[in-house]
Amino acid sequence: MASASRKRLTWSLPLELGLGLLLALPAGMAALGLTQEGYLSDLHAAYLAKVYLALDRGRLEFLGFSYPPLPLLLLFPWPSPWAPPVLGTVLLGLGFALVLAEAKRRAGILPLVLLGGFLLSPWPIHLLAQDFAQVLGLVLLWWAWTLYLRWLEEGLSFFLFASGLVLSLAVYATPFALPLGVLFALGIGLLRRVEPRAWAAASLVLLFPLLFTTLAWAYLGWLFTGGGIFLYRALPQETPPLGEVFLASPAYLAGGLFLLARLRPGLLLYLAPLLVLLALPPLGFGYTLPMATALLLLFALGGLPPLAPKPHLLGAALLVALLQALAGWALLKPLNPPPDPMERAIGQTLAQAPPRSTLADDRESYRLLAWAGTARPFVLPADAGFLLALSAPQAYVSRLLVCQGSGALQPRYGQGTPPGFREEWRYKGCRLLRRPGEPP
Amino acid sequence: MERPKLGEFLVARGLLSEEQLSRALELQQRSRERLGRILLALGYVRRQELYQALSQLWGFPFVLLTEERPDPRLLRRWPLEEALRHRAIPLRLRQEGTLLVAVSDAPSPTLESALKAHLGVVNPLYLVTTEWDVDWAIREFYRKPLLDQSVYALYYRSPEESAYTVFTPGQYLALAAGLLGTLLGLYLWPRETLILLNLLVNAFFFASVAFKFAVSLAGALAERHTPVTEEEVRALKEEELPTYTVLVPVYREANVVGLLMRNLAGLDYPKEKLEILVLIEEDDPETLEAAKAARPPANVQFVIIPNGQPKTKPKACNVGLLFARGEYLVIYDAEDQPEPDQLKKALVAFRKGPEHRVCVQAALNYFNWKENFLTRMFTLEYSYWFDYLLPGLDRLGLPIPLGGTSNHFKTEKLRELGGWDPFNVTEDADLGIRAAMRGYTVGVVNSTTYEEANNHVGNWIRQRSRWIKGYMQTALVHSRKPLRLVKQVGIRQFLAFFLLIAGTPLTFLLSPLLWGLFLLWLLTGTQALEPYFPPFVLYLSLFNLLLGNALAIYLNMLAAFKRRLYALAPFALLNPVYWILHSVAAYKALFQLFTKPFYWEKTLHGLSKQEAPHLEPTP
Repeated sequence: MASASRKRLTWSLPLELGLGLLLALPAGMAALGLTQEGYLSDLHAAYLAKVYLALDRGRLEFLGFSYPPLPLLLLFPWPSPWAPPVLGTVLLGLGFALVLAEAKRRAGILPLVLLGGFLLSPWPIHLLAQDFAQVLGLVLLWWAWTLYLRWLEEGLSFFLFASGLVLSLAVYATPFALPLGVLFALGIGLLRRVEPRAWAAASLVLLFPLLFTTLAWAYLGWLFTGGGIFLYRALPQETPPLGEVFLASPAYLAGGLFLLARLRPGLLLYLAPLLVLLALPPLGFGYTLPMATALLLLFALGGLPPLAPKPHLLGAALLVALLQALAGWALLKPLNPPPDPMERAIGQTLAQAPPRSTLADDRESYRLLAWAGTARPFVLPADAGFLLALSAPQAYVSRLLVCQGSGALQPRYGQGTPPGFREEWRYKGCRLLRRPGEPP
Repeated sequence: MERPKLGEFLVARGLLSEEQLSRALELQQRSRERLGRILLALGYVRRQELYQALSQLWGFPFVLLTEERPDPRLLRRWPLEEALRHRAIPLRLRQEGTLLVAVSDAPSPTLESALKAHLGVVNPLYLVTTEWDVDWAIREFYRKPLLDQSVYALYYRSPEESAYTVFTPGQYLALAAGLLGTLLGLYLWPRETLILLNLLVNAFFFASVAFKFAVSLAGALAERHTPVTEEEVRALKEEELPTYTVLVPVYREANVVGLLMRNLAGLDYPKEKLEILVLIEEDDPETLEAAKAARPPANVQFVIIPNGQPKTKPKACNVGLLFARGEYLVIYDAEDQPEPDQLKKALVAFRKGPEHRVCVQAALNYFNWKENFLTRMFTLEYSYWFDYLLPGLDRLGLPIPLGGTSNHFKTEKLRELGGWDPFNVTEDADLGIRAAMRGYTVGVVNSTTYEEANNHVGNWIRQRSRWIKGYMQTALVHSRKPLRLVKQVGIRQFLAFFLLIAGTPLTFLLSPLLWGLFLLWLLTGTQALEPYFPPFVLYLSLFNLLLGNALAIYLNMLAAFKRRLYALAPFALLNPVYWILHSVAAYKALFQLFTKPFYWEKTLHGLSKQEAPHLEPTP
């Protein structure tokens, strides 16, 4: 039976890639459909606003060395509201291809069944539409983990090297890479019989690039912004209760029970993401339900030992996959596009204003900036004249865009109107103030 | 009447016992080597007795060349090449027209044709002598042509490939134009010129980092494919093994030559098929005496290198190459300890590889890595170079700069390449690119030679300045006709060669400037440098500073891990300190390039307090 499955699972790499992309396509189409209807997540809007600013001013440091940086850099060649779902779809396809490749290597059909449950649920659409950085982070974490597992199995230093490099890249997409890397390093001594010195050296090889890239980004942040606590920015602060995460992760729970019943040493590593989910919120690192669920699913897919697909196992896997799909439908709120296309239209209108004519703060008005598609008309906190324009707008700009949020304009002009300006329009907590006589 | 066989003849003369003969015949059955060689390798007969017996069997008189000196007029008409090819020395022309010719092999028709062609003789009378006598006579009586051949052969054949000329007029002109242009630029447009220089330096570093990362990644991937497996080595049939020559150039190394004999005796290769030529300089009698006192095995021959300038290792090797009889050839240093099966592994690598593979390079590493900070850093560096960089170059089909020792050659191809350039102080790196220019390739083999790491800073800087100077020489030689080189090796190989060979000295020369600027900014917070770092230069320099340095450290760390030198891995973090030494050596090398380009900074060996471990052959 095992040999039969092995025979069936002999795909070539381009085929896996093609299959992966094909599997990601439905979720990608749905996410693109949402964008077409005017849906843009807060995170995607924030990324785009930063990228427009850096591109328009020609200064990379105007990113403010935001975290995570890798998604921002990926948006550089094509900054557009369409880019996150498209990039996310490609990344998701790549991730599926890596899962297929791993399943092929291990000649295991069960991970594919579990993946099916994930595919039949709204999890992928949520990940793509809300934050493609999460997809990127998950793909890199999966890749790093499978490489790490291969090093544990085969002992070739290349795999540890590659795992370290991929983890170091992953930390630029998700903060999960950091604690997971540390847990991987700890796991070496538990999962592979090595002398303490070899354990320490292997940990160094695994963690050096990860720590270095983290510190390098901190250094760049300090160099250009003077601040060092970059990891705390742009991360979700609200975290779903752990019970809800468990409820959403039947595949992970089933895998854990299976390992527990067989007392496999891999169980120790299997618990790593759980530890991370428990440890991060008290430290101020939040995560979303789709991210947590997908992370646990990855460990469920990779943590299971190669098993012959006996009928009872296959039946159990099918049941778990079904539960996984149902959990998605039950727990995730549907993503609804805005009822009208006003936000996009306003953004596009703002884009028509003359260069540096509109004082705004991208911490407040990033959504409108994202729809505008350019930072050229705006004077923003990164610009040298921002503070002057803020104190005496009538002398420097002809418009003020004030939105609710933690920016500098809201406290000063949230309610009132500076001399020489009058309110042009008001939309969902944002106001445009314009000097009379200036072209609309 | 049938001629008696050599073995029976020797037994009949009481020079060999029946047991010894049956043992030798048993070996011959396996190796298919000539019985005479086997008897010599086993030490059952003395060389002179063997050749005396052969002379009787062949029906020619025996002669000792130390007693019967050849006529110099004849030698003038008998070129060195023919003497070496046939191992034959014309001695005297008798009045009746018979030419006495000393030979160590049974005379062949080709020898007769050559004698006729050069000396016009049709009826030679052969005298038998030992092969060592012939070699001694060649060295003694062909001293000048030998010296000429070993020093100027490459220069005469293709002067543009020789480092004899350090700078060509065109290169002087380019250098002067570059300098003048820079000065003019600094005078007329100081800011723009400084930005341009800054950009060029950073772009070079960026290219270098990207190149090394790509090559190292390929090298890391190569770990998944073992070039030569133990099974392949075991499958080698002894009778199919060719004669292998080992060249060991030694100079002022009386203290390590005993160790050399022990290490060479440890090679797992049939002794009768192994020719070991220890190349000893004429003005170094101490090493010769020490080598003799070490009671070398019968297959070790001392080749005295005629005194003359330049006194370099490649010159000695060129002399050795002239005398080499092996189908394959390898170079080891005096303190080298190759893994016992290295020759066999190299042989398999040649047989598995393409026809145009002319050389395989074994890895080098150090046995005394625990000795001090310097030996640790040196070991890290070598582990990276030989375990990641060279396999990566091999995998990507890029030219490989050979390491100083443990490079195995097809002897004939090496002769075709013109041997080593005695004016180049990294003749090995130069040979790698010359091989590529002729469409040949160099591969790597998964075997290690353990050496003694330099444990003294002064000695280390001497050695490293020579290496860097050699890289400068090599880069200068091959940049004389860059377009021709591109045509010969291809653009990818050309760029890789320059990034590695020219890039290495350039990196060490430039990095103190960049580190200096960084430290100046860090310590003083000055804004005076900002005008020279516009955004694109700033991003590039930040990339180099952060990623470039981290990558160099990481790859060293990884190499130690792969070698299972776990205690060394954290030392990779101290690489920046080690790089300071590289820069010191680079500036010394630059100075010497103009003042003493051919001077061979001799590395002292035998300074380590740690004993080299004895490597046992694989059962």
